[in-house]
Amino acid sequence: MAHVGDSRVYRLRGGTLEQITADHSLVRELLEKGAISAEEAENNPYRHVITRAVGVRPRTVAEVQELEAQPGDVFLLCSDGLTDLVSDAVIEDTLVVAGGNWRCAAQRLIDLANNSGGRDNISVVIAALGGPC
Amino acid sequence: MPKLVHSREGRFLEDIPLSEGSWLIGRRPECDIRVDDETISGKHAKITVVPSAYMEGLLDVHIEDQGSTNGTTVNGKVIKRHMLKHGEVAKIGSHEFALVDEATRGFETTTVVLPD
Repeated sequence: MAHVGDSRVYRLRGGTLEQITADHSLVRELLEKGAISAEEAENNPYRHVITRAVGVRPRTVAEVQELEAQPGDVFLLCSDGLTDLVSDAVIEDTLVVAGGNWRCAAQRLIDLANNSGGRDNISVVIAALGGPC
Repeated sequence: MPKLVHSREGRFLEDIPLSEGSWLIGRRPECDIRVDDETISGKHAKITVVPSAYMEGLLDVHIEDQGSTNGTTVNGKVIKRHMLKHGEVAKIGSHEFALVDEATRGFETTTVVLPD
């Protein structure tokens, strides 16, 4: 799994959603270093500043991770257009109640983001392992 | 340079340009920004402007309630200490202070800043 910037990968396993990627953002990096507190990071004016992106320089270094996936795992790949407007808790609920209807879940997530302002482009990909399509 | 747009009940009062430093807001004469609303405390809130902790060349604008009787809100939420962003409005009694900061205005959407 590789990522660049503040687009994220989440994994739903056993009804629990977990963010797998760490945002390449200024605020998250400062938070990790202990330079700012969690409270200062939330709703921070600089929270959209990212430190890696594709297409700005000729070469980009992606962060690559290897994970073990289990049957039943569901992966959500999304842009910050979703996660900026819809909380992790709501995303988790939406995926859990979808009952395996992922196309519907993806549309629902996009609708939720649009209903909350829909300021940015919203991209959602749901990959479900070893389940019905 | 960031500025605060000071208004009262929808009526524009003044622009306050912000450079590094601090401004005390309240009813007492020693306050830098004096306001005459009775619901405002003598020393109600303080605006502090410092070189940005996040990005060189920019300024961070903080507002901190000074233990006022009726509190200070930002965008409707009561705060103790808050870092203002472009467009946010701090409310003190019937007075409003909106931050206008052209430098960080673009930061509402994704901005790429690559390390050297």
